[in-house]
Amino acid sequence: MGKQWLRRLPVDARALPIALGYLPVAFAFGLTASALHLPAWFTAGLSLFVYAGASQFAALHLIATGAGTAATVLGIAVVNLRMALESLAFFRRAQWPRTEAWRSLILTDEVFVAASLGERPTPREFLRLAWLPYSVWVLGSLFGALTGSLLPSILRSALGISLDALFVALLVGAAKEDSRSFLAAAVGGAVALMTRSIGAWSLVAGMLAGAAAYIVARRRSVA
Amino acid sequence: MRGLGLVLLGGAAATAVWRLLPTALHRRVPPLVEDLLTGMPSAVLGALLIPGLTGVLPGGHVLTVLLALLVAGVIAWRVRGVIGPVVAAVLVVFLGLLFGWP
Repeated sequence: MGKQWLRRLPVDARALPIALGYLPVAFAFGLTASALHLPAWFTAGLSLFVYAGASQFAALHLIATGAGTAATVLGIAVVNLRMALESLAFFRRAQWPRTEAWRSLILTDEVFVAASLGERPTPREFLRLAWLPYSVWVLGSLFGALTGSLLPSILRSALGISLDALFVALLVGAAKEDSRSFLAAAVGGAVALMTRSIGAWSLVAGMLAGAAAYIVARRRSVA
Repeated sequence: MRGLGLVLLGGAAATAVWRLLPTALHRRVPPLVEDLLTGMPSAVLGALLIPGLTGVLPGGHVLTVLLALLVAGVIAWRVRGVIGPVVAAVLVVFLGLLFGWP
């Protein structure tokens, strides 16, 4: 009863730490895009319409290595595959009508976790949780893209590690839930390294090999 | 510019499909597809991460990069979320560049 007033606020209290956490990563994303001389509209557009950090950084990586449009879009799609699972799990739990499906467009890893804990959220409660992190992500990216070049070069170089650190953190997070994720990553990385000569498609080769290794390991552990 | 516009449109469409598709799939997928969806992101992260390790920083600094990623991994193992690992890795690289670590 004492916490009823919190529910009347336009922002869920759990949104604040998520938004604060997004800010430096969004800024680093904008900064990295700026260092690649990508226009600010593209940087902000990715944050606005894709809104998925790992795939946005992956897109920058692919663009920087000279991958074509198709390979870059494929990279975004593949990195975001986990969202199908999150969306599936979230909608199974939320039991909302299908007309509310559009709300999953702003479902991220962190919002998914927060919304999946505790009471089943109503569509309105979900928006109270999700709108602030989304706004901070878009504005932080834009700010990084517009002001990044003003930072000292040593700090800009240091921020260049943020993409790989994000990938490591995501991998470790996945491996804590399921250790076979490490196997998938190791096989995917090794195959991508060995097939570097075929350019951006080495990502596809690594992806397929790693996913196959994961499926084999999972089937063996079930059998 | 046209290529970037297509990347933006394609990326947005692909992401929207993943986010919206499950709500149209009767909320169930075959086990093999579920395994594939579970394993593929980790495979992609490995495929993006490992081949690019030598090119993260101008001038190499491979040991600094490895140390930063090790620190990120340890922190990610101990705490939930991605922000702590990212900030720690940036700090390690900043110190590495400042003091000229290899």
